[in-house]
This record gives sequence, structure tokens and C-alpha cells, in this order.
Amino acid sequence: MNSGRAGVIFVVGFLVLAVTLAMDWWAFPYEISEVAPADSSAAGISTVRTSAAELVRLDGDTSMLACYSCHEADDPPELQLDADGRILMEEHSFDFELRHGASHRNENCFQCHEQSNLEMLRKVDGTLIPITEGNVLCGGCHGTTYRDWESGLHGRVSGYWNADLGPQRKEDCTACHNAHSPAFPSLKPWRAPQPFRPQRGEAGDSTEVHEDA
Amino acid sequence: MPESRSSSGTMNRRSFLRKSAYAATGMAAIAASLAPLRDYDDDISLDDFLRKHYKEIEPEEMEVMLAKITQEVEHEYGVRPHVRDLKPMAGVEFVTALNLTRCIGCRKCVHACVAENNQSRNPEIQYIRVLEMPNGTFDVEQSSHDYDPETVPREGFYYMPVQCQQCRQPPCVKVCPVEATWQDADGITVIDYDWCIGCRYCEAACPYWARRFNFSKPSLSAEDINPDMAYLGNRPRPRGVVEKCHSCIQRTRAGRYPACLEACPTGARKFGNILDPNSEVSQILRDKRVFVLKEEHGTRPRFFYYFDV
Repeated sequence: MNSGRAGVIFVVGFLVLAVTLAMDWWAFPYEISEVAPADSSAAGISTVRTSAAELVRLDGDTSMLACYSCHEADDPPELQLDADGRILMEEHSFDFELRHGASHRNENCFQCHEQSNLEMLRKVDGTLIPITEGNVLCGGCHGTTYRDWESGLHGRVSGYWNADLGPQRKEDCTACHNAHSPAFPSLKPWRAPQPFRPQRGEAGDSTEVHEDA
Repeated sequence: MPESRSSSGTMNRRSFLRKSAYAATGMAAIAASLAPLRDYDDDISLDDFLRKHYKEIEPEEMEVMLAKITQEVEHEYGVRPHVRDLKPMAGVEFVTALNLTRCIGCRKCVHACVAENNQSRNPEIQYIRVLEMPNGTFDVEQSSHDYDPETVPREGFYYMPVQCQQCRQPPCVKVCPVEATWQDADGITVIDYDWCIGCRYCEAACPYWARRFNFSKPSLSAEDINPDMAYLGNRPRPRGVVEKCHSCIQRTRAGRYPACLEACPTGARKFGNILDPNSEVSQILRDKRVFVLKEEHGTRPRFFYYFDV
């Protein structure tokens, strides 16, 4: 009988629908990929390096700033140059790269350090300033950058944008730039975002997402 | 004549059983299709149901609501938050500027934002997307946001972080059918998470891909919680609502810089009051060659990009 067969098809259809919905086969199975735990180290105002001024403020290890613990006070050091006229750095026990300016333009210690008093910096006009006040020395050559830094356009700030409500903190040049090699360092990037679309999984169950969450 | 009797509608044993089977199967199917509702555990009180639109809430009513949020967050996460309803300051319009010459694409701002704003950790919700763009083009179709080299920046690329542009003509606000999102006087487009119905029109309308939807209840642990919260800002969101960058209103409306700006290792981000001629952003807009993203859409963003030397 025709109507009987239609009824059976109807029942079977309903049953398939019911099982589909009950087993949650309606949506394709997918998995949300695992993500590493949140990295709270990203927050905060820490800089890529510590400036001399900050080191003094924080009462840190300032032995690197005590030039006369190794140098003789009354014996100004002479520069050791190689055949190309570049400075030989071997004498310094601490290891740093001297890479300031294109074409090695500013790779002479005594363009910034005072030869007769190594713990002082020497501005282009000859004035001596303590090593903790280096910003103005940088400004001697990088004038436009110094102007931008003074008004907050260049460099890092933190605290309050509104001076009436609280203080603004401004970082020194050497909190980001190594004065001997000022290019900003490359950094390891923080983790990439979770894949945007859910990945098609083999045995994934969409309800798991809600349970994990 | 039994056949004619059954076809004329009189119940016999066979047709009764058949109809019962249909009915039972139908009921089972309906019950199964409604099964997801069993997971619906969001506790909605009559007060929540009858509450007014944010702009009509009286200050004393807001006090009650803030106390309730405080209680709920403490109950759920074991952290007692400090929830405030911060209003825009008079004479302040916020603008963000981003120096693309400085940005190195390290994504520190992305994660600082997540730590600040109590976003869901899994599924992961982030307000900032950093695009790695090949040098020499502004075509975002050529960009990638899941780059993962050993170190950044990579040779031959520049990096462009994209987040809510706080438009003056925000398409997201225009399409919201319930006015759950609007532009405040200080230029921040905010969302009332309790008013949002989760239709996601705003998400579709935004040309900057800045809005995010909570497909599931945000997963946050007690140590993830930032207790400094604002009602229209970073208070924990329920399931089924849209969220986006709100320029850290819990910070900026209290005078502080946003979290992404403070975290940026290169100082590429600048933020401030454009109505103050001496602010950093005013000087940038005066002195630098700034541009906005997708200018042709006429959204008039308050987020400016620039290059300098």
C-alpha cells in the first residue's frame, strides 16, 4: 500500500533527524586548537634594557660605570687603532659591539666619553655631564629626535596622559638604545593568535568547546 | 468494510499505533533539537530583564548594578574587583596615533591588551591584530597575521597593528538594532554588554574587523582577572555578546595611558586628547604625515598611522 510505505519513510526520516540532533552531528565536528596559557609578561612598562640613570635610581650593580676601578685616574687611555683606522676593543673586558652611525661614523670613544675623566660624558660643545644625564648628549647630534622625545612623540611614556591626574614617566634614550650600538634590537614575537576558523578535526566534538570554556 | 472505515477517519488499532509512532518520533526530534537549551545556565533575574538602557540609568541605580557586578565577579572568580562607571571627561576627545616606522610587529601590545581587558583565553579573543605587510604596499590582502619568525622585524616587511579605529562615523553603531553600542562624547565607541542581543550586525559592518563575538562563555581564571574594571569597559562579558577595543576606558577615563601603549617596547603608539593643542597626538597630527585606514569608507577614524624617520 502506498500510504503505508510513505508512513515508514516518514518515521525513518524522523528517526534519522532525531538521532542526528541528539548526537550533535548537525554541525561538522571541529576542534578549537589548544592555546598556550596567557603570557602576562607582555603587560607592564619594562624596557628592553636598563639605562645608566635607571641603574643608579634602582640601586643596581653600577660596577660597569666605575671606570677607575680598572683605569688609572691620571693615565688617560690611548685609542688602539687597526690598519683601517677602526678602534680595537680588546682591552675592554666587557664585551660590546661598537656600531654607532652608518659607515662607522661615530665609532670613536672620545666623541662621547671624556678622555681625561672617563666617568663623564662630553657634549659636542665640550661641556662635561654625568653619565646618568646622557639624553642631552644624544640630542647634540639627533636634534629632531631629541625635540620629539622631549614632547613625548619619540620614545616610551607611561603613567598619565593627563598631567592634572597623575605623573607621566618618560624613558631615557638608553632604556631602548644601546649607546654603543643604537639600532633597536630584534625581538622574539609574542605568540600568534589562535587560528581564526576552527580547524576541521577528526574526532572532535563541538560540545567540548563549551565544557572547556 | 474495514478499509473504508479507517480511511474515513475512525481510529482502529493499526492507525492508532502508526499515529502514536509518528507523534513519539516527532516529540523526540523536537526534544533533541531543543537539547542545547539545557546548557543554558545564564542566570537572568527579573531586575536584569526589566532594566533600562544605559543612558536612562539613574546614578543610584547604577550604584546597585555595580555592586551586583562586583558580587558576581567575586562569586565566580574569587577576586573582588573595583568596578566603576566612568563617564567621558569634559573637553576630551581621544585619538590614537601609531608610528609604523617604529612598530616591529612583536605582538606585545596584543597580549598586554588581553591581560588588561579580561578577554576570553580559550576560545581566544584579542582586540589587536598585527598585520605583517610586504614593503611597498598598503594592500591588506597581501598581509598575514599569523607570522611566526624567530625574530621580528623580518627583512622586507613592515607591521601594522589594527584594532577598533574609534570612527567618527561608525558603521557598527549605525547597524545596531537595539542601540547597545554608541559613540560617547570623548570619541570612544562603547558597548553595553547587558543590552547587546548578539546579532553580530556590527561585526559584519566593521571594515576593520575590530569586533569579536563571545561564542562561548569567556574562559578566565582567577589569576587572569584584572580587578580594575569599568562598566562599559573590561568587566567580564557574558556569552553571546560582542566586544571590542574600548581604548582601555578603565584607564584612559581616569587619566592613564592605555595598556597597549605602555607595553609597546618601541614607543610606536601615542594616545591623548586631540582637543589639547599641546598633547602628543595634536603635535603628531600637526607635524607628521598621518593617514587613516580604508579612508574610502568614509568612517573617519580617530586612529592615525604615520611613518617618520
